Amino acid sequence: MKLLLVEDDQQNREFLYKAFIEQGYTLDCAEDGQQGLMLATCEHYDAIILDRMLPKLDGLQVLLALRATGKTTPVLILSALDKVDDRVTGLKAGGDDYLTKPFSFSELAIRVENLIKRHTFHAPLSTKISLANLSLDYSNQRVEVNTKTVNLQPKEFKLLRYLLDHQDKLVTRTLLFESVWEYHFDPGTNVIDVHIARLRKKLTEASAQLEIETVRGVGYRLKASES
Amino acid sequence: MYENNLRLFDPRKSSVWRLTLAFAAITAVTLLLAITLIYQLLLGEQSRQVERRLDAEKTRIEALASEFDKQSFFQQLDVFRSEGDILIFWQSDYEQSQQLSFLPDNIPSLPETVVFPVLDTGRGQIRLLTTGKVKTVYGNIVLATATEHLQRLIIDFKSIASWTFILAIALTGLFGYLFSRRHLRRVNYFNATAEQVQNGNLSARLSHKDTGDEFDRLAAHINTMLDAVEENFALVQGITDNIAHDLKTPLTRLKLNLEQRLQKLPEMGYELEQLNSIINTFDAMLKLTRLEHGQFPLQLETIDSSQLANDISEILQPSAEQNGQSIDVAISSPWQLSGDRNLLFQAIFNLVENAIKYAGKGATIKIIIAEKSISVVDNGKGVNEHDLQQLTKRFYRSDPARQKEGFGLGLATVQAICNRHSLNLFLSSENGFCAKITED
Repeated sequence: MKLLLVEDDQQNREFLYKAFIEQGYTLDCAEDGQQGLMLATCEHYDAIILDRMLPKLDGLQVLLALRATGKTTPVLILSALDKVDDRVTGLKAGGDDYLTKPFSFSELAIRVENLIKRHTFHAPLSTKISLANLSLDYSNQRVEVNTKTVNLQPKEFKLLRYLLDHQDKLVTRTLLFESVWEYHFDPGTNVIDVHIARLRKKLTEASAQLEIETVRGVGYRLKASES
Repeated sequence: MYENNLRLFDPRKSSVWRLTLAFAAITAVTLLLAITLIYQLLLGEQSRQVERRLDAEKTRIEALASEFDKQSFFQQLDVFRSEGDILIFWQSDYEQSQQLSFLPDNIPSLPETVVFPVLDTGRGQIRLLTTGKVKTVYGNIVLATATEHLQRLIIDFKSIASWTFILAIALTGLFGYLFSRRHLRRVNYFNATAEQVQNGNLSARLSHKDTGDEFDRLAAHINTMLDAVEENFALVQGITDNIAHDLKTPLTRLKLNLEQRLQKLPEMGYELEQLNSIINTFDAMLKLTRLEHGQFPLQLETIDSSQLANDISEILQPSAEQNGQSIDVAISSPWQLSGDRNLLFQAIFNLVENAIKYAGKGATIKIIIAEKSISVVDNGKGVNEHDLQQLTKRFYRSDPARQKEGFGLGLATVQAICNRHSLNLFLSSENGFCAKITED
């Protein structure tokens, strides 16, 4: 997977470069809009991470120019301004997702992953996802542990499915909230915590051999229990 | 509410109308004085002349009565009667004037007089006579003089004077009303523009007609002032955006670094949480400021408030249950409104979250949707009157120790979201706390 990162702040650029390399991506970096646009049009990338405010050529201009060439590479916009109109204009200009600074790397990584998945979508071979002794089938909304059905509320099901889709990865609360409840809003730590606690309890009661780990300050990670 | 007051404002409540009333009163007094003066100078003088004339005649007759015997006295009276313009009548045992059909009994003694109409049989017309009697040893002598011209003049004068008076007052009132309406229209226009500015439209300006009157000068001054305010505001806005941008780049570095180190040092989670809290407060303040200044464009769509209420109830139910509370949704009349889905969600979410935080253990929280309104009601301990006034202010928290989690921006944000949607927010506290959002 090859990404293009267009970001003018050197420290952030270097940090993100290292972090994405660690995740197994290949990365090109550009420090201003002109360079970014040149790379984006000449090379092939699976996704582009584009800062909104850039020297020489503004991020929005880069995006408009890129789309004008007919390239459909998925673009995630990073912005420091957090104005709703920024989000709207960014998405209207052809952006595929939007993230406000300061962001967490885990969130950026998952959003990029989601963008690439969506862009290169092929029908999955199976509607089942499983981890350890648990399996979830989203064609019939059924969750089983050792072939025994676990009763989950619709939102609990969505929560578990999102975590399973991103198993072993750090998932932030905002991401969970956005995908499960479909509001663009940060509800604060506690609210999601209690929902996770409920889900955790149900999974334990069904003796599922997996664990939803809470990572303070970031979010949650679903993984198979070590025991 | 303010807007409604403006629209319903009665021209009769304006200061110009009060001035008009005062002016009308002064006009009335002046006119009355002038009319009385003219009356006295023209007609009053003529009336007094008639009375003086009758009085002189009375003196003459009294003198005759004392000098002459009865027969000579009446002969003399006959002579007077034929030569003067004064009519003389008397009634006695042997001679009676035949000129009048009757004489009223209640004729007063001169110098008192009375006016009464008689039918002049000779001329076949009704005449008005001013009469008075003289008492002599030979009986009562009645003196009369025809004053119908004078009486007609008095009647005409009175009628003209009354009409003039009524017309003058009516015209003063009418013009006063029209002026005050015109005046008020301009004042209302000023108010409407001020309201636009208040609602965040800083580029609203007053147009003027270049007549150079006081309103034009005021409009020009206000426009100049607004130019300055807008300029300063743009400057401050620029600074805010720059601060936001300049702060967020290092905050991003910090957050990314902390997160990376978290893999090796899980205890860094505490620092990361603190950083997130700082970032959240900062974002909430920026958002509130932008909302308050109308710089937050709305993504309008049709919102089903029942959907919002059910979603929020579902999201917050577990948190409420942790506090031994419950959340109920009651929909008596569904309410669809046009608004920004995420913002309206946040407004109701904040209200319910507040109820969970402050209503206390075991409380019941209700989200009630009724005719064009949505309310969040709890049966907790409520707040006192003083707090109620302060709740929607930034950073105001009713617990002085600030022990509860939060930044004190929740209700201020709800208020700002409501204002941005032209919705009303009413807070009250009777047997608990109630926050009601309504549409006009």
